[in-house]
Order: sequence, then structure tokens, then C-alpha cells
Amino acid sequence: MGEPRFSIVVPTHNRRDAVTRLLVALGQQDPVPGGFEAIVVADGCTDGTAERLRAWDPGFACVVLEQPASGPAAARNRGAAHATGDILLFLDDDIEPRADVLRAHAAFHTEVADGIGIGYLQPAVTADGFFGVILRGWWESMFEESRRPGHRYQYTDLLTGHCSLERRAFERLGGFDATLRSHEDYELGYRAIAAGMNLRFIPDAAAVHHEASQLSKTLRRKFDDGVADVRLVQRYPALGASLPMARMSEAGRVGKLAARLAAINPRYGDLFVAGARYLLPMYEWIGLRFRWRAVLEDLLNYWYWRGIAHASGGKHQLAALLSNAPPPREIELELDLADGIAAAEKQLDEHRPRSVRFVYGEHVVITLPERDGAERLRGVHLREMIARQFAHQYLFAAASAGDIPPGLPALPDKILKDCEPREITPQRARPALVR
Amino acid sequence: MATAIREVELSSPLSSIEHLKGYSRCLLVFRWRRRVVGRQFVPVVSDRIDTAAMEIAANQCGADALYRWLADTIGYDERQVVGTRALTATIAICTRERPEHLVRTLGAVARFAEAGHRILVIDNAPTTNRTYEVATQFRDVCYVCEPIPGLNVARNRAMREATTDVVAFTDDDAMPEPEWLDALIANFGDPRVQCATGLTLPIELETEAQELFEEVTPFARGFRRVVFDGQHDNPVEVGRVGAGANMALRREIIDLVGPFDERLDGGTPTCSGGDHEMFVRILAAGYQIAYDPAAVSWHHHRRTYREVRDTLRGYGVGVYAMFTGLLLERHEFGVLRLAWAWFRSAHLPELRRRVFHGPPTRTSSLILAELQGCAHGPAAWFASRRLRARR
Repeated sequence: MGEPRFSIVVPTHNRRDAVTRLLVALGQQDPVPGGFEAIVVADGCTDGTAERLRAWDPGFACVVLEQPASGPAAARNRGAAHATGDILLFLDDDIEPRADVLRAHAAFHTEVADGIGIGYLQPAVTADGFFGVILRGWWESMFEESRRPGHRYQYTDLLTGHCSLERRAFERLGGFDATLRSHEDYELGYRAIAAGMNLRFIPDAAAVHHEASQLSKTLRRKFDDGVADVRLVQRYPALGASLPMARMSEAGRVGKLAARLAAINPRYGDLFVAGARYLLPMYEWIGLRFRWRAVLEDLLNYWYWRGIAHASGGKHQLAALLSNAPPPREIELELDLADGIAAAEKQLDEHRPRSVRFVYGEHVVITLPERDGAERLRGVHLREMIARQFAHQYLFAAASAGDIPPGLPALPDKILKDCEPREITPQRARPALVR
Repeated sequence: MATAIREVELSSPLSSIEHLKGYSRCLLVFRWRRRVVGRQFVPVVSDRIDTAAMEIAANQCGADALYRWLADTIGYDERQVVGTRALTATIAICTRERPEHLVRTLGAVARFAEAGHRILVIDNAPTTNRTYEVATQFRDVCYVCEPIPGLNVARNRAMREATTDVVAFTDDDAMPEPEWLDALIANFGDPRVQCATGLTLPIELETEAQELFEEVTPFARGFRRVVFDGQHDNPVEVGRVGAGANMALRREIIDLVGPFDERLDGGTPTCSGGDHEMFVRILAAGYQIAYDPAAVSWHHHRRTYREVRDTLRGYGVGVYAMFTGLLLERHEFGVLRLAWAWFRSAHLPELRRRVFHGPPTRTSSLILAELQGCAHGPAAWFASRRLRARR
């Protein structure tokens, strides 16, 4: 694609100062050949956002649309429908892009066909204390896997707070699912990967994310996350295994008590966790960060599971929902790692399988079943997978084949106890603190 | 008798080590294609170590050597991230009246200047111009005089003087290897990593004091890379993280968590602890510290028993002074548990042994010197705070 024009879509809700800061940053962008337009969708704003923006000339083409409060997904769809550019760049209103963001997205789309570029969000967290620390860490951890050269992208990697894709591709996908109040990016990510689009992290597209979330908002969002995850599994049953709902995490004392009370009457549980919040400042003052984290984790889990229960109707219905997952399909490809890493990578790039079995001579090393919502395997994934997922199996197979040089130590018990060939289960969704 | 130090490359066939006359044992440092993967003390028999003993020692390296072989074989570097830009670095050497050591260290780090990095010598509260004379012998070395005494004062001066992305610190009695700086810098691809530390090994164990020091408080922290994450790990447990003799920090860290605490470390009543206190603040703020054994530096331990005893006592003072500050100013009550755990595991057995089983050995005297230092730590912190307030 040569010299694409950008349409930057910004949904906003009662954050006129934040969106003004974003538009100021857009005005300072390094020039891109095709130029850009901005479309701000004021979603149920009552703080005069639209009036302020209309009365102000940011120095570039900027359209302001208004709509009754319908949620960010609907607002993004509305903005995209109004766009005239070749590339849509979605930015949340609390983002402040650095001057070369557009250039980085433009370079990405020139290089990668059918790409969805995910930009880096550098957190600037308003909350202080333990919560500020954990919130910043959570945001940074979003990019931990995507930064690895061998990362296998999955639907949860799509971040609509800062991403770009071709407008035609967005239209082909049918836009965001506006019925979801949360995880609408997961849902679009799922469809994009199923359609064969290439999600990629663009580290050079860096923007500051002014994260002003406080604890109460975070807890509310966890309820919405629970509801959204049920909707996702209702639509795509195979995703259940990769969502937190498939794993009942071990609750702490607060979580267990809250769950018991909620089983009697949800209002009792809600009242109890509302009170339990006051343990947090106490633990923080005396520096008990692990107790603090345990309580926070319990509160977050409580509201997530309340959302799950609310949307699914109960644990039996949830179990039925999770059991709808389709049976695994046949393994598509078998590769012999004894032929060398480069040869195996080449095969992966040629076949792009959904699932693969790795052998090393006569030894089965590992089986990677199909993972719904994850991109098809590429050669670049292989080294990362060996090193991080089945190093012990590989070492055992290599030792059995006599391929480990004689001067090196024999396999210690630690490796021998963990060298049975196994199946790798789907990875968990990204760590769930707040969206 | 002394301990010899020999390096063994595991990618070549093992053979006996000869000519070890005058040594009772040997510290074997094992490498796999230049990367250190383990170390073992092996007794010297008839002035040599035979191949069988070498094989037994090499086998003790266990999984670390195998993981290294695996990474090497498949061409994997866990530190690699997409879109890493080349970072610039300053090598900072904080020194005080030790020109005979400094000249060796500068000789070892001079090569980094050829790669475009900056070398900074911070001369801390000098009483002679000998450091200046040594530093100016080297063409690419920048000499800075910091008149206020204190190792952390000097570290802060280095952070202020530096204009690069990263500032790497080495002691004036250490000899970093050629790969040292690149290995440290490679850890900063992830923006959460604010500090990297490396593997420090003894350059000689020729005296009994040096052997005792290595036995009681070795600098080595293992042979596999470990990332300490403030999001999950206890920030006050920084003993395993590394030491200021071999560390690099992002320059921006002082804007994020504040400068080195100038009430701590050498040149103040607290004697040490300034590096660890910085590690605590980095982790408590939720950032990461990477310990990377690929960044190897060889340290010249003190040669006399008295020096080693003073050093150990200083470590005790510094750790407990740091605990005092963390407890009183940051409400880190976790240090109480840590202080108790350290006392119970390291000091109490020695006290018990001394009471019930006779006079102290030279090792136990060092441990007790450390304990004396611990007892003095809180008072030293208050004294240092008073001094600092007066300045």
C-alpha cells in the first residue's frame, strides 16, 4: 500500500480534558505522506466535550460526532462508518501518542498485509500506593508476551485502546460487537484471527496512557468482564478453556466467606465485599503487600464470578456452557526436530498448521493441539516454544538420541521427572486486573 | 593453603589440570562457549586434578549447563524483544584512594570506550591527586571529583553526570569481562527492567582471608538468569538480587524512585547497604531487576583477615541500617521477619555452637563480626541521618 491516509477514531465519554490532550498530541505528529483525519465520537457526553471541540481548531481535519451513551464499541463503529481514510487507527481518549506514532503504524501497514498493528501503551498511572503499583504492572504485563519475537498471537492480544487496521478489513469483519460492554476487543480479535489477519505488536508506536482508574471502577469492570466472558463462550464455545472462568482459582479467606454469603443471598456477599475493601488501606499502611494483594485478588474474583453467575444463570448452566466446546481435531502436522531447527521452522512456515506434534527421532516430544483464538503456527514460534514450553522434553529426547555433547552433565532428576511427552493446554487469557 | 582458580570450557574435551603446586584445592569455573554455567571447588591431589575428578565436578553443574547448551543449540536468547533500539551506556567507577586497583579496572573497561560508551571515574572525597593521575592516563576516561564523602553520594553524582540511557557500575577492584557491558544492557529491552546485575567471581583466592570471604559471603548468585519482579516478589528480599559491584541502572530510575540514599553505604556510619536499599525501592515500585550471569566481573577480595572481618562487620551494619530506614520511613514491616530469618539461619547456629561447642573458628568469628555489625546497624542509621541533616 502506498501513502495511506489515516482516520483516527476516538470514542470518548465525559473526558473533555483528556480528549483535548490527545488532539493536541495528534497536532504534533510527524507528517505522514497521506495525512490524517480525526473523528471524535462523544458517547453520551454531558460535560460539554462536543461543544468545546467544535469551538476549537486543532489544526487538522477533525470531525466531532455525538450519540446517546451506547458504549465504546458502538462509538468506534460510528466513527469508523464516518471515516474516509485507508487505515483506521483507534485510540482511547486517555492516550497521548508520541510524535512518531502515525509513522510507525504507516510503516507497519506497508510491511504487513492484512495486519492489525497494536501500539505500545506506556502507563502513566494516577493512583498511588499499592494499587498504583499493581495497575502499572498490569498494563506493562499486557505487552510482555507480545514483545517476544516468537510470540504466538491470540485473540486477547488485541487492544482497541491503540490499534490500527485497514478500513476495508474492518468493514469485512463487520466492526465491533456493540452488544458487549467489555471484551469487545477480544471478540474482534477472535474474528480477525479466524479470518487470517495478522496481529502484530508495534513497539515503535508508543503512546502514553494516562490511566486514571481507581479501585471502585476496577471492581465494577470485573463484573462486566464476567458478563462479557459468558457472552464470548456462548458465541465461541471453544474459547472457554482459555478464559479465567475455566479455572476456579483458590480463594483466600475473604473470597471464601464472600462466596458463601453470596450463595445464601447475593446481596449479603456484595455487602461483605464492600466492607472488606476497608482492609486494603489498613494492610497498605503496615506494608503487608501480600495480604493486600490477596484481598484485592479476592475482591476482583468475587466481582468477576458475580458477573459470570449473573450472565450464565448459575454453576450448572456454566458447566453446560463450557462442555459445549467442540472436540479437538486431528493433529495437522508432525515434525522431526532431529532434522534441525531451521528445517522445522521452514515446514511450519510452509504449512501454517493449527496443531502440530513434535518428535525427535523416535521420541514424541510434545503435542500442540489446536488452540481456538490463536493464530496458526509460524516458524518464528518454534524456538520460543522449545525454550519456554518443552525444554525438558527436548533435552531428554536429544540426550536419548546421543546429541548432547559428552562434556556436559547428565540430565538431573529435575529434568528427568518432567520429560514425559505431553499435550500443551491452551494458555490463559492475559492477567485480569482491569480493562 | 591457597585455592587456585581455573576455567574449564565444556565444549572441549576435559583434561587434567597440572602444576597446582602450593594449592590445596581449586575453584573450577565451567563455561559453555564462553558463558559461565557453574563452579565447583575440587581438592588438589599430588599438585593436579585428574580428568575423572573434573568430570565429576562438571556433572555437578546440572541443569544450568544443559539449559545453556539448549539455548545455544536452538539459537534462543530470552532477553531478546522486538524492536529493541541500541542503548547507550556509561561505565561508572566510584573510587577513593585506591589507584593501584583502579589502574587495573580501567585497563579492563577501556575497551568499552572503543565501542562508543563513556567511562566515568568518580573520585570520592580525595585526599591526594593519585586517582586523578591514574584516571588521566587513559585517553577516554572522564574524571569527576565528588568532594562529599559517601559511596552513594558518588553513585548519585555518576547518575547526574551521565547522559546515556544506562549507567553501569563496577567497583574499583573489579575486572569486568569483555562481554560484561553488552550482557547487562541486553536486559533492558523490556521497559519494566530498571536494573540489571551480573555474576561476580573472585579473581584470586590466594590468602586464607580471601577464601573465608568467598566461603562466608560469595558474590555469585547462580548461573541462570533470574528476573526479580516487584509485582510478585517480596521487595525487601534483595539478598539474591546481586550487588552494587556489578550492576547497571536506567538513568531515569532516579526520577521514578529517587536517588541512592546518601545516608547509606561506604563513607558513612552505615558502611554498606546503599545498593540493596535502591533494589528495594525499585522492586517496591513494581519494576523489575534482572540478574544475568552472562555479565561476568572478577572481583579482588580483601587480602587480610582484618580487612575481611571489617568488611563483614560493615555488611551487618549496612543491612540492619537499611532495615531500620525501611521500617521507620516506609513501614516495611516485612524487614522484621527477614531480620529474624537471617539471624536464625546464619547467626543463631554460630552463637549456639560457640556457647556449647568451644572456641570460635576463623569462619565463625567472621559471622559473629557480621552479627556485631547487625547490632550496631540501627544506631548507625540514626548517626548517619544526623550527619546528613547537618550537611
